[in-house]
Amino acid sequence: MNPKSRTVYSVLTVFLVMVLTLTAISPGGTAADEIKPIDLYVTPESEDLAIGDLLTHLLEARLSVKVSKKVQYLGVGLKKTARGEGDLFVGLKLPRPDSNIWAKSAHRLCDLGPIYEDVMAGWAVPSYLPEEKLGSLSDLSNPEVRERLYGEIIGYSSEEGLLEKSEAIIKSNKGLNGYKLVKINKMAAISELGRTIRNKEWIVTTIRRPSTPFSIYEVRFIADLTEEQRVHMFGRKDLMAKYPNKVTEFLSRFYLPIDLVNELIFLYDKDKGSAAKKFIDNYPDLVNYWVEGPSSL
Amino acid sequence: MKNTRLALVVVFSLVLTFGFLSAPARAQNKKALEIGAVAWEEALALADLVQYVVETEIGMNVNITNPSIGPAYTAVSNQDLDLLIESWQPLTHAAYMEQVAHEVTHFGPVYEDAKLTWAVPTYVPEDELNSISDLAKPEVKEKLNSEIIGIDPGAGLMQQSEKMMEEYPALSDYTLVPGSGAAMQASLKDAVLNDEWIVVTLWQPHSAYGRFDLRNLEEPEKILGAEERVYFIGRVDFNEVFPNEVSEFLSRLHLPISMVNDLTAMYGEMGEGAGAEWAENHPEIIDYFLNGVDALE
Repeated sequence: MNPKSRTVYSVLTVFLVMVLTLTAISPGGTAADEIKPIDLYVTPESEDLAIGDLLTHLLEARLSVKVSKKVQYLGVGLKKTARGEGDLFVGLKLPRPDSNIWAKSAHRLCDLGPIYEDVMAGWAVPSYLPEEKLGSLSDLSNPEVRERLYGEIIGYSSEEGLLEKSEAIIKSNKGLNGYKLVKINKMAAISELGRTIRNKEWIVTTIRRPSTPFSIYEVRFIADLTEEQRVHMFGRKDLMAKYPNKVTEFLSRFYLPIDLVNELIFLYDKDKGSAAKKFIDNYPDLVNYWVEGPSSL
Repeated sequence: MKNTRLALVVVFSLVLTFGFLSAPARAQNKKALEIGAVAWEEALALADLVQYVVETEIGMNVNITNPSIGPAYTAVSNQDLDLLIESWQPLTHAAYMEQVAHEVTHFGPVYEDAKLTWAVPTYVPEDELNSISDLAKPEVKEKLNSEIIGIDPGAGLMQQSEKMMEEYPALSDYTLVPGSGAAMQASLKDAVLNDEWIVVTLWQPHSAYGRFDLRNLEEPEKILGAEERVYFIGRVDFNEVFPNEVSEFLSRLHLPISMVNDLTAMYGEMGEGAGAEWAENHPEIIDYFLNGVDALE
């Protein structure tokens, strides 16, 4: 090797070392500026899945935070979030008076408040049925009403608790003699409701709010089978220390009226992939408020 | 005579009729919202704002009392109090939240980026007193009469300050003087008027930072914690007891800390009525808090 080529060689070596050093340094440098990714847990309920998608979309597109979303049941989700293994959890129904897991984790979480309220389950009828004839449970004992309903209460089989409660009500209520609970699956129930409503016939169905039928049909409850609840989003206890204010303030402002949750579920049932984007297009001002705060008003 | 009797009968029936008619209407609004606002300036300012909005926009009566923080937590978890203003989390009120977090209603954070501090007027030279460890210097101790001016004994700020008294050797000769938020402010004002040295336990947001030139002491062990988030806490059955309008207003209520500072400064100047003034200056924000998406789209 002649001296000249040795010089070239050493220059190359120095250059290589510099490149290597810079490459090694720079990921650390940028990582400090980047917002840590969010581990988001959502319950398997369709409204929470739809809301999880909406949150993910907004966090990634508007706030530049990467989100990894996992479906997690309530108990495990609460425990893991309280331990700081997960960052965010959607959605916890409250109040929850007898829950051990809630009593143990409530003070070890960062509450971000309700994301929607007015959650209920019960028996509902299409709004065009005259309220003076069928306004409450006791009206069902009227023979004329029973005849128009063919003595049937239509129940979604996917809602087990709701079906059991409905069975119990039929059994324990003398006025409901002659009624039976007809169990069909959710999609069949929605189309049955649609067919009935198109023909302006009579129907009583078990139903939860939020759900798709509330966004596409006019229905009203005639009996509540659950207490009114609200659904919360929670974070790990140190969420606000871990993420910048623009992220945590977005999460604190995120709040939907129940009608919009019904609509979001409807969009999600129709096409999971486009629901979040469609919703954002439909409500740009609300979304801007969540992201930017009062300056957007 | 007959006419008189007839007139009396008519009047009597009218009274009966209207008495009966108006009774249910009154009964609906009978339950006033009982707010316990701890006597910290920003809490009083926020309570003043809530009172104004709930009374003028929702049409419900609001009563404000000023309990100490410990009894306030007990009262709200016993349903003797409807709304507690304010709860500092995760550090300041951790001991209280551990007891009651699962048996109260959470409405989400009202503001973020709050913190506990120990502060001195800026005319106290930085090279003489800038950190807790400087308090060990004999000349500093003498100028401060070996006193740290505290607030009400049950306050989380006092609990953390007491912990500091135990942990920092520099504080071994000092007394933490309990009092109240107002007494602390009076001492501070007195000291500033006379150019005397003083260390006060304080927090942000607080109007004292606007009224006086203050500097926070460095606190290396971080016993006063980092960023805190501040909540209103409701009785567990809040949503059953009060109309949805109220709980939805409280769920949407979220302010950037700069706005809490402005509101608090206004309250510091004018006292009650600051809430009304602030609301009138920010109609679009109040409109969103009350009406949600309907105020936007």
